[in-house]
Amino acid sequence: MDYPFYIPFNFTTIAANSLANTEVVIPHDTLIHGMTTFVASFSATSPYRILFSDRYGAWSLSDEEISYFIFQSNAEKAWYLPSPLYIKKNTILNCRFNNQSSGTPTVQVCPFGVAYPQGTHDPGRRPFIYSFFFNLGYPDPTLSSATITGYNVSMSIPIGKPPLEWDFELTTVMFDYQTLAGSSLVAGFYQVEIYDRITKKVLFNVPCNHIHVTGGYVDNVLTANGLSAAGLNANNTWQHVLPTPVTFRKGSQLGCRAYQAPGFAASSYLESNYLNRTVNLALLGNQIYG
Amino acid sequence: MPDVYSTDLQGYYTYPLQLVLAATLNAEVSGGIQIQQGYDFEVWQIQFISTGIFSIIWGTTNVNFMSGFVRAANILGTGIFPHPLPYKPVFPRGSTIAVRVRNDAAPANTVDLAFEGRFIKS
Repeated sequence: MDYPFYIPFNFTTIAANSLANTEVVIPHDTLIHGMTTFVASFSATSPYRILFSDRYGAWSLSDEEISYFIFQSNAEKAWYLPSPLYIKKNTILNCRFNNQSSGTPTVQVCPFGVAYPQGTHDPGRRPFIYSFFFNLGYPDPTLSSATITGYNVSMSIPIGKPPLEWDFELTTVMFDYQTLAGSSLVAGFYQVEIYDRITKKVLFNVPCNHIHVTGGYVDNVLTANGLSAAGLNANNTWQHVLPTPVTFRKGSQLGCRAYQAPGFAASSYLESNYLNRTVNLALLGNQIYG
Repeated sequence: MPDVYSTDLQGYYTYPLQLVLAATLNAEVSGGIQIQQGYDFEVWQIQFISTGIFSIIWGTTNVNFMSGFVRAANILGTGIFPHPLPYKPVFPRGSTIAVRVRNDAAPANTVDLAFEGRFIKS
């Protein structure tokens, strides 16, 4: 009999700036559809990142860790994978929790799906996430209390990935930023460029607000970096689903860069400082085998 | 294929369940909903309100639908933001939806659940 199945991973008062691992032996064949997250005692300055993988490193859900603001959402706005992830019975699923703050958060990350799935997944594809972290930190610390009135003052270096081992069918783009301790909350206007490093073909280069990858200007301002007062992420799980999937062929190389973009707001909203701000871009899609 | 029970509202129905947790951290209480005779019940989603934070395990009387206690916010929706189950389990007529909740805070906690779904003929 099929039935819904939830797999909680508990991280209780994880030590500051440390890694923790939690493992669950999956008791039966399971299809993971998405993920929810409960967070206690969380704030905008206590970020964390996670990485799901098989205990023995046979596979992982993403090529690098993904930031909390990419996946964190409670059941009301559950976060879904681009396609179901099949996990065989007795797999030891590992979740690595990277606490990047000086706090000790309590978090429960909970993949969910269907137990004993029957013929509902395509063995020729598996969901996968390419994760890019950009630091848009402005290099001049003397600006720590100034107001920057210009645009495009900050740009990341391009980041490239190794050649793809499999065809990658890109379906969804997610983007958001975090503000680490020591920096101000900033109304964010960002632009991302995604391209193939070999063919130089640019997939797109647009302000994030235009494609609703982030919660947008209003959300960022009103909810203080997308975090509600209760500590649960309110706006950071918008997914921009491409109108049609784009396939990057095996051997090609994904490249991305991010930068501060012209925005909708008056320049006075662009506060300083730009130190310590990190942008995470996640490219969600499917690896195609065969 | 079961056909929809269509005498009213196409079989739509909601089973409520209230559980009261004692004023102790990690206090647990169990409850159940017995599906009425006549029709099987297919669960679509579960909504909740409560006076405090809690975790839940639910399933049949023999099978839990999770590998451990899950925080309510991770699995239960609310009236305006329901969380559709990834798979809609069907409970046979006369069977029981088994529920166990755990208090995740020290104060007493009243938990109200609503199992929303439909009756089906089998």
